[in-house]
Amino acid sequence: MSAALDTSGLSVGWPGHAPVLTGLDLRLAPGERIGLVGPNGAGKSTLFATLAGLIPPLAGQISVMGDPLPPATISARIGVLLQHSEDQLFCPTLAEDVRFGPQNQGLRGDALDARVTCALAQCDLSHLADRPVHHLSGGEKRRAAIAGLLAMQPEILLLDEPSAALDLRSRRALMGLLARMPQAMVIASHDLDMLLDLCPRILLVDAGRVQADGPAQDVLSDAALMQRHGQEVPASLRATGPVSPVAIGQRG
Amino acid sequence: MAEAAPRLPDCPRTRLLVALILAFAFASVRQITSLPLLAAFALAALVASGQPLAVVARLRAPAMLALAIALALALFSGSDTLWQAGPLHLRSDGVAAGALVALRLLAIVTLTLVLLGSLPPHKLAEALRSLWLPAILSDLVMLTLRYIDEMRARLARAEAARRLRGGGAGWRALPERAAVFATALIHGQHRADRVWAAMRLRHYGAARPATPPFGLHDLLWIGAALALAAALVWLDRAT
Repeated sequence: MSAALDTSGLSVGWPGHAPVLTGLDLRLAPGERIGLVGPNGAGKSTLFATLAGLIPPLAGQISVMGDPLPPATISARIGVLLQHSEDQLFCPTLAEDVRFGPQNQGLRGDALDARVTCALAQCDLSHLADRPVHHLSGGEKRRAAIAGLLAMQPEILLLDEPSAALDLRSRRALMGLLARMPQAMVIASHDLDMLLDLCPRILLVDAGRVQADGPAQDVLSDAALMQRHGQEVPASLRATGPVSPVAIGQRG
Repeated sequence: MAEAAPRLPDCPRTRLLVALILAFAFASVRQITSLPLLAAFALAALVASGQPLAVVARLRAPAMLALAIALALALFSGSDTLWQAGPLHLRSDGVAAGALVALRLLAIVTLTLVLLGSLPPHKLAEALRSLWLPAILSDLVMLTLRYIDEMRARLARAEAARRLRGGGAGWRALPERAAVFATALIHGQHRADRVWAAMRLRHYGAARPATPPFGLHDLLWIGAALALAAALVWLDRAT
């Protein structure tokens, strides 16, 4: 089976600047969830911008579902939640914002309405459809941005700091939503407890390279590795000691 | 407000077209004798709005501008002196030119406020797009209107932060204020970049909804506006 996302020898960086991440060989299976961890400036957002087609890779190849992706090409198969997700909400009302993507894909009439209704329902936002987007709470805005992505039916989701600045209830609601979604995902976050819950696999990037790639439990509980790269072992692992693989499976 | 103004067209595109047709007709008036007619049109539009007082309240700034223009033309333009007080000369042809410019301006602004002032920004942007304005320009209008309040709020927060950290007041603080303004502009540009990226990621511009044809009601409104405009121009030229 083709990988959902496959990169080989990928180097990323902003055009005209030095690469921030080099030699990335990443294979994301369909439906797989990977947590992307690293200090600020490690290149997580730049990697997402490259995979999304906003900037060209400095070197290397990207394939989506087995098809090579030409440099700086925005693919309908990839949905991206930006770090500042409120910037993704630019239409007057929530329903109009969710409609924006599929409408640009050429969907019209009942099919478009059904797509919007379904995306709003998936994100538990149906009751807010007509609300101006700037009247939504932080958690609702985050889910609204995800609804906008789901309405385009992507096969891969790249989520940049999805739980940042959310209160506990909103964070829990977001995690429930992400756990239910069947798409392959890469989640970049400093919320390591959330990654432990959602992602069986962790990729740790720092100093321009991948420093670790393995099961979440192994990578995140390695105190020396985490400390070396400016990270901390998540609170849940510190409190209870290493978690068994069975327990990890039950979390997801 | 749209519900309170049943005597206006419902469709934003029709409103925009009617406003454009009449505004061009008003702007083409050249004779001072046509001004009562122009004033009558403006008054009729005010009444049709269903909220004349609200519209009049929004006319304060344009009225001040019109008055300033009229005074400047009356005092500094033309040659036939009507009245003199020291270096000030009130000139008859300046008064006529001032009245013409000021009343045309007020009539056009009144009409625009009545027809377009009650439309939500996105409806106005959609109407502009449906009249073959390039999508990028209509979206620019919509996004400018959408974010202008946020920019203003950001500027106010930055200004408050400056004052809280001992920033001065008055003209001496001008360099500090300029720095605050420049920073707000740079933040605004970064945000604009992010919004643009978000729009591209959702395939902005890949497909546009088709514009529905005008209905009979809309065609009647446009026809009436054309007839009024033609009558106004004909009367103006005939006198």
